[in-house]
Amino acid sequence: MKIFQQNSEFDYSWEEVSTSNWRKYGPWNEKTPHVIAVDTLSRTIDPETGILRTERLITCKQSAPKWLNQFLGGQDTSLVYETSYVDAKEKKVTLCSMNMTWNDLLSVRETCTYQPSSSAPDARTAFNQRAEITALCGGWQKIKNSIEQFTVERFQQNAAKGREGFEMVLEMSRKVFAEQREMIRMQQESKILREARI
Amino acid sequence: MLPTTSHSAILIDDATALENTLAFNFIDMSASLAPECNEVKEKYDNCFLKWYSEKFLRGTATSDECEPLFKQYEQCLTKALRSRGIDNMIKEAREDNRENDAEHMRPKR
Repeated sequence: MKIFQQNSEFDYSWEEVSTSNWRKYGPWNEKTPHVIAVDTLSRTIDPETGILRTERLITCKQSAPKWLNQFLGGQDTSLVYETSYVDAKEKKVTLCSMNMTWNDLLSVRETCTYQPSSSAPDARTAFNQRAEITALCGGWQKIKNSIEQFTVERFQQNAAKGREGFEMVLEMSRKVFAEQREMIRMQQESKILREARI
Repeated sequence: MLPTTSHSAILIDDATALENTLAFNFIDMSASLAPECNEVKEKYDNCFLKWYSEKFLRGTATSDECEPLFKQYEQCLTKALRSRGIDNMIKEAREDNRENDAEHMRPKR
């Protein structure tokens, strides 16, 4: 098993981060073109805790190298199952994901959390990411090791791109939100002016 | 043509600008794996995002007002998942995920 872990911070409030998380893989993110679709399978609020639970199916375009593709059977897309838990009272988002494709061969399990940063709880958000990668196929340890090593490296690259892309989404969201607020303000003002004339 | 005051011109500009912003907002979500579900998915995603930021995060959500849109989207998606044989894979993943549910649905307070 190989473990990938990183902790970092975003210079945005928890509210902004947790909202933008829902459009992390939208067109505003130019860094993760390998994510081609995100579908919501279910969404419920726990009546006791108020936690919002969401199940999503993430479709990725596959780009494994030739040697690995031999094991994978040449499929061109891979599927990821993700559950997320949003606790608005505690201000915590937890995302758990696992691979649904090639899960006989490889297990990739990831947990991410977003929480207000302890240094600046109203302005910054702490991000914690941890993934466990295990090759499950029987046979040579050497092959298992190569598969795990390749996967953890690819994971690392995608994590870096994912972060960059999420920064783009956060920036756009803040901009569009400000524009919308301004637009609504202008509309209300012109309404007041119009009524004042009448 | 009726004479328009400079004021009503502003009103029209505002309305168009607002419409553009909303239309822009409309394309900020990701696609569905089933292209035939994209339209209803977009409607649902936008409804959800508004509800999430304006009500859920502020603790004022009493009900899920996007439920009717979700039902439509779900109906379309379920069909697509079944025809692609993905529904069984999801069932398996759900089973594998029970531990996560147990851990994160009942956090210690």
